[in-house]
Amino acid sequence: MNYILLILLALGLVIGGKSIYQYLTIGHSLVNFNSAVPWGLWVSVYIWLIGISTGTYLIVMLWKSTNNERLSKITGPALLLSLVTLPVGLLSIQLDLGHIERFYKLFLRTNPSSVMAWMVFVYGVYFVMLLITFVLNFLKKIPKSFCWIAVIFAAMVIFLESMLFALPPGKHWHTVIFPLHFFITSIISGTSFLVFLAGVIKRDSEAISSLSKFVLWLLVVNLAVEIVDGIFGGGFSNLKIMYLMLGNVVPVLLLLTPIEVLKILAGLIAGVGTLATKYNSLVSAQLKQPFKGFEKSFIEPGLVFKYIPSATEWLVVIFLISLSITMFYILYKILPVKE
Amino acid sequence: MLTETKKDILLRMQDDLKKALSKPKEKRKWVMVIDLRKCVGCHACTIACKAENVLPPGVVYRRVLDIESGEYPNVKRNFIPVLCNHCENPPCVNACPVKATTKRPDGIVDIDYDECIGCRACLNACPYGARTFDLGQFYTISTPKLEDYETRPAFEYQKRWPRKKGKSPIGNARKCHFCIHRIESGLLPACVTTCIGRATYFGDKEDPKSLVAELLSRLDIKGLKENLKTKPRVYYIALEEVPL
Repeated sequence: MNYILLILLALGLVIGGKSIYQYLTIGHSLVNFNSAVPWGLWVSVYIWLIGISTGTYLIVMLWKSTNNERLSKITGPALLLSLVTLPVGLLSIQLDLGHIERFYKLFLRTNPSSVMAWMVFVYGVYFVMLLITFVLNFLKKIPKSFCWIAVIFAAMVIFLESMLFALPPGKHWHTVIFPLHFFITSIISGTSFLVFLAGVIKRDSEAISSLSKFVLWLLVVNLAVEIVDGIFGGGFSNLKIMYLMLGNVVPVLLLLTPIEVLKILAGLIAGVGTLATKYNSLVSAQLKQPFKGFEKSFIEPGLVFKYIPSATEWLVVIFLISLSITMFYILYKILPVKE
Repeated sequence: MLTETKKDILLRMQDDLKKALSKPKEKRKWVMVIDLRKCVGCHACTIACKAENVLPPGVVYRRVLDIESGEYPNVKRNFIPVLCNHCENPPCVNACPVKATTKRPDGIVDIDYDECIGCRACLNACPYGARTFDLGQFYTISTPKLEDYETRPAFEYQKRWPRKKGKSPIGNARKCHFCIHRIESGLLPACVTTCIGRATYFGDKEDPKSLVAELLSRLDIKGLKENLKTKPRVYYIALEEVPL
């Protein structure tokens, strides 16, 4: 099993790495995001990975702050997951920049009115906080007050990140429900992967049972939010119906069964499903034209209100996911997180 | 009719421009007025802008919406040129994380290509869809030779911008800048001089004797999406007649 995983990871890193090299040398002609849909798959992966990181962190610290010891065995791996997905998520957004080499300007020319600029510093503080938690967990000395601060901070990171997408005026995502939706999907992604981790790494039945109940409720709430969003403007595209069925309804059905393996599988499906949710809410909002007839006002490649990620974009995503798993795998072996 | 002066309106605007340029930058406020009753939808402004600013595929500063309305036999067709509105409260300026896009004292919202990181936050922040992203494409890329008209430099923001791989403006957000490089040289924007219907007016709002100031006193003058409180500085005559 381990060998198959390692071969797959190596393949993902090599093929994806080659795509990154091609993208860096050839340029933006290899990607399909454009002026009509400026934020595509890579931005979706960025918010997905950060969602996993913050969602996991929030849940683990919430459990700890309430003296709930059911997650004690997986706290270490969970913190490691948070720690690994954060930099890889940021790598995804960095690759998305038109001028990658100018990222340092975010620190030198920070615009205080820009949420994006704020996020750079928030991620910095969040990373430091994660490191401190990691060390405190190793020393088994996480103060309760620190846990609460961590919960509030993680929630703030998610809300602030949602503001990045909620602020533009005149767009569909300029809705009250968007930050809530964003928050729920982030918690789902974190908790779902915790179920998966608890099952695959620890075989911790207590944690699986406890977390899967929580995921089940979250998925039901998310389904309700998606339906409300669809009725009040978001609509029900084929993609949305598909991911709601696969990423929401199927895991709910699996979680309702008493079989542990199916619950672990549900965790994986729901966790991956949140990527589709994030992608859909991001891309569908951008597909809304600012004016009637805008799309046909000037027809040229790069101005089409259509977005299908290119092969390069997908391969880079494979690289990013492989990188996350590889980093987790190596650090799990090296660092004292097993107990 | 306000525009029924003896002088050709282009010449009058040219004189207004010279007068405005003699004032300090902060004392002039550039605005554009578009008379939708005169626009014939020829797209000459779009093409002139493309040529003037050496715009590659996927980058457009000025589009012309073609809107059909009504039912036979009462059918109407309207054309609305859409460009950067150089808003007084520009959402793009707030969205830019590195202060690469700013509002100049003369009202023009500009982009510092050397500072822009290409995050495209401004593209999503703009409610008018006025910004586009330069993906570094060329029209003649799949032909034996890249044509000279594509590789020649642009002169936006009074600087020379040759199209070189990895160099700005490739990888940057781009948009209309009212042809600053032309204005500062005493020339009207390319779209204004090219408009065959004389539908586009340009000038200094702060000069009460200018043609645009006269037009702004009309009752049927309006900006796009005024409800968003962005306070656009591109005004339209007879916009209310168009079912947007």
